[in-house]
This record gives sequence, structure tokens and C-alpha cells, in this order.
Amino acid sequence: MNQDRLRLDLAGLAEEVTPVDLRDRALRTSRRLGIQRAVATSAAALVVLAAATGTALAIRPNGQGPAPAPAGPSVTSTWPPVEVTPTPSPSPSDSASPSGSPVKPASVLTGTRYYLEAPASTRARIHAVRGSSDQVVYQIPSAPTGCESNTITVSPDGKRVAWVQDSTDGGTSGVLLAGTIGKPGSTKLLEDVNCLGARPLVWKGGDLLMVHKKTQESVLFDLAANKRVDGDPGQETDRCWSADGRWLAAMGEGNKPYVSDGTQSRLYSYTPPKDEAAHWDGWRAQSVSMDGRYVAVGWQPTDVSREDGSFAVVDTTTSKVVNLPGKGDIWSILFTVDNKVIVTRRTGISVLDSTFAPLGTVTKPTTSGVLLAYVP
Amino acid sequence: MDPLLSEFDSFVRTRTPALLRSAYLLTGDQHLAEDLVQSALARTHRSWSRLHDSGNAEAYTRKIMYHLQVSWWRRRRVAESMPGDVPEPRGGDSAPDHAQQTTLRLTLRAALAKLSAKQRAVLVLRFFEDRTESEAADLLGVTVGTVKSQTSKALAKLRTVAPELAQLYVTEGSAR
Repeated sequence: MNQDRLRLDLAGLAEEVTPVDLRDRALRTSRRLGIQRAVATSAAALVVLAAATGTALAIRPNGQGPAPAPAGPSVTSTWPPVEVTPTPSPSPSDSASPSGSPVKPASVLTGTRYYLEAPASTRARIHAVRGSSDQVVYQIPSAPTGCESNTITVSPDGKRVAWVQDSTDGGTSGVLLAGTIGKPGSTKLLEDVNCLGARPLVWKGGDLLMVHKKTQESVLFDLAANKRVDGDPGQETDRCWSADGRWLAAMGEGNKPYVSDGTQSRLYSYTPPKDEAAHWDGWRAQSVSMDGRYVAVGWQPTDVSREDGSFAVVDTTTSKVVNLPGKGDIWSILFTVDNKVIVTRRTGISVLDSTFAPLGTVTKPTTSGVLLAYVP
Repeated sequence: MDPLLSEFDSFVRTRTPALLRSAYLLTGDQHLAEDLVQSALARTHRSWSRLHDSGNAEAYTRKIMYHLQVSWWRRRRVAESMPGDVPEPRGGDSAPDHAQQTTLRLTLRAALAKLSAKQRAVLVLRFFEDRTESEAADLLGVTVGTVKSQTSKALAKLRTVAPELAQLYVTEGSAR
């Protein structure tokens, strides 16, 4: 393509726009943003006060004491009061498999699912859902479209929560903070961390978190030790790990996807549906099975929405797409540490075993949005 | 008047036309372009006390604008509201007249609408704002490799969705 001609035509096209004075509109929007930030700050102050007066109560969904907090010197008090949401009564769908054969609820999902509540105005709340119990186990003051909302993540072992606190650069980066599920407080870990993108924070096991600095440098951070453990471990991109951090799925040189556990590597191929692919910036592995054989693939979103976007499972040994049982558009696919597969659709959540045979369905809590983690 | 506000006013009034031109290429729509620039300027205003004497206010505003656009595209599916039908090209004359130029422009606008937000952003940065790959990467918060691959994909897609446009560009290019 003649790029000079393209330059010329772009310039010509740009001249079509009519210049307008945006001064007043910009100032009004600025004031509105200021009010939103003030509201968020007030909420933070209130929750600190609540914590100081002893109204905050940490509730662990399984009744155990709080897990150890990450080590670190600087602690910010952002512990909000924990609320217990009404416990929903068990739904009939909790005990029914897709085929209609009865399945005991205990055999479907016995562990705890961690959800990020659908965006609220000033707080991001993490719910722990176990059986019919639904409890808020962590809250973070947050603007609904800020860095916090886009980055909040729970470790695969359900012990830690991490997020990027918005800085003043327009919601593109901030400070990496981490806390312990069910325990007040958070620790400041790293500055100038990007908060944009589809998956700005990626866990490698329960302690290690991959983040991207503003400089585009990838940093693997050890939350337990409060230090960087590695710089960019390689040139590969779009990394994600199995729930135990053993198997890595990534794009290697020449955009060739592969899985590796450090001792063995396997290249595979995948061609997404052509028509759909035209709307996206490519695809990536979003979740890896514990044995590294399967990857859940999803579109590479172009923005900060929390959509997982997974829509298929690929067998990396054959490069074939696995036929998943059930109907309807898939929203997310999560391989769990106990070798289950949680498939979320508009119509509900299906639980599959390691051979993708249906075990049953569970109901998505009405208050909850994104599934952040599942701990058996 | 507050001197800081006065400086901001001056910045807005002098730089808005240029910002709107880029925003128009990114969104393909006058109103969306205004919304985009307005939102970016509002964030610039929030940070004006530290930006006003840094000389980086415009770069900052543009960076915000590109990030917001990529974000909005997904949330509102702007691309789907843009006129996406590529008009029939007018053939014949090797010296394009005004009508032909208009058709070409419509074709280009429709073709741009078929690209993803990030692909449009790299094209605008590289071929309208004449940024280097490194500058474009910095503005978009991605690696240089991503800028390269997105540029390549965007150009390839332009060729696919508007072959007559690509043909014209190639023909004219080879004639030079």
C-alpha cells in the first residue's frame, strides 16, 4: 500500500471534523470526576473509621482464621466493614445436572467461589460463595471504571487479593496493593503498575503475581516476600498459569502458542472462527488445566472490561477443539486445582470433570459479577 | 481569573482542533470525537497543576484520548455504530476529481470502521500523526512489537475490506 497516499487521505478525512469549543464541557466533566473521587475518598475515610471503632468484622467463609498477610513495610488502612449478604436459599438447579439426572450438591462444587460484585459506585466487594452461603470477605474503595475495578484479583488459593490503586494519570497506572482475604488492611508493593488491558495482573500460584510496569517491563512479584523475584522471564507474551502455577501457557516467538512446565514444552495451534476474529485483536489462553493438556482460549479484548471472553477449550496434544457439553454463549472457562472445569454461560454455570463430562450446575449469585477464583 | 485556569483555557482553545482531528479518525463520528476529546481534556484539567509547566500537556491528553477510545470501543461497540458499508468506487479517470476524492474518503472512513480500536489507533498514530513505532507504543501502553503487528494487521485488513482502495494506492504508488 502506498503509505504516502494513505497519509494524505487520512489528513483529508480528518479535515471533515468541525472544530468546536470544548472548554466548558471539559470543565464540567472535570468537576464531575472530582466529585466522584471525593465520594470515593469519603467512603474510604468512613470505612477506616468503622474499622477503628471495631465495627469491622472479618468473616472467613469456612470458619477458619485469616490467612497470613503479605509481608511488607508499608501498610495502608483501607479495611472496609464487612457485610454479610443474605444467604440465598438453595436453587433447584444446584442439584440438577444438565441432562436432568439428580446430582447431590456436594458432588458439584464443594469449595469456595470468589466473585467480584457487579460494579458499584464507590466500593468493589469480593464475595465468597460456598454452598448456599454468600459472604462479603473484602471491600476496596473504588470508582466503577477506575484502575481498581479493572485489576482486582484473588489468588488461586483464595488467600490473597491484589489490585492497582488509581493514580492521577487518568486511570492508566497506579500502585500495586495486596491484602489478605478476610483480614483488614493492605500492603503497598510496587509503583507505576499498568492497570489497563484485559488481564493486567496474572497469578502464578498463590504467591507470585505477574504485573506490567509503565515502562512495559513485566515483573514477577512475590507477595509473600514483598519483593520482585524476576524481571521479564522471556520474550513470550500473553502468559497465564495453571492454578498451582506449574504449567505456563503463552505465545512464543512468531506468535506460536505453547504450554510448558519448565521441563517439557508443547507447541500447539488454534485458528479461531474467522468472522468473529475480525472484531478482535487476536486470541490468547485464559486458563490452563492442571496437567497442561488443555487451555481455555478467549478473545484478546482491547480494553479494560473484566470479561474473560473464553469460548473454547483446545487440547494442546492434538490442537483440536474440545466439544463442551451444554448450549449457549460461553462467558468464561476456568480450570480448577481439583481438576474440574467451571463453564459460565448466560444461562448458568456448568461444572465438568477432567474429561469434560457434566457433573452438574450451580447458580450464579445475583449480586456477583466476575468469577475471580475457585478454591476446593 | 485564576492564572492556572487561564492557561488551561488557552491550551484547550489552541489544541482542541488538532485533538478533534485525531479523535475523528479514531471514532469516525463528530459527536463521538467531541465526547472523546472532552473526556481527555477533563482529565488533563484534573492534573493541570502538575502539567501546565511540564510542556507535556498535549502528549498527556493524547495518551488519555487513545486509552479512552480503546476502552470505549469495547464498552459501547462504537465500531458497530459507525457507517461500515464501503461505498461503490467510482472508476475510470486516472486524475481523480472532487467527487472521486469524496468517494475515496468515504471508502477510507468505512474501511477504518471495520478495524478494531487498537488497529485504528496505530494507523492514526503512525500515518496521521507521523509517530515513530516507539512513540506509538509509549502512547498506547504496548510494546513496539505490538505496534508493528497491529500496523501490519490493520494495513492487511484495509486491503481486504476495501480492495479498490488498496488497488488505487498501489497503482498510484507504482506509478511514482
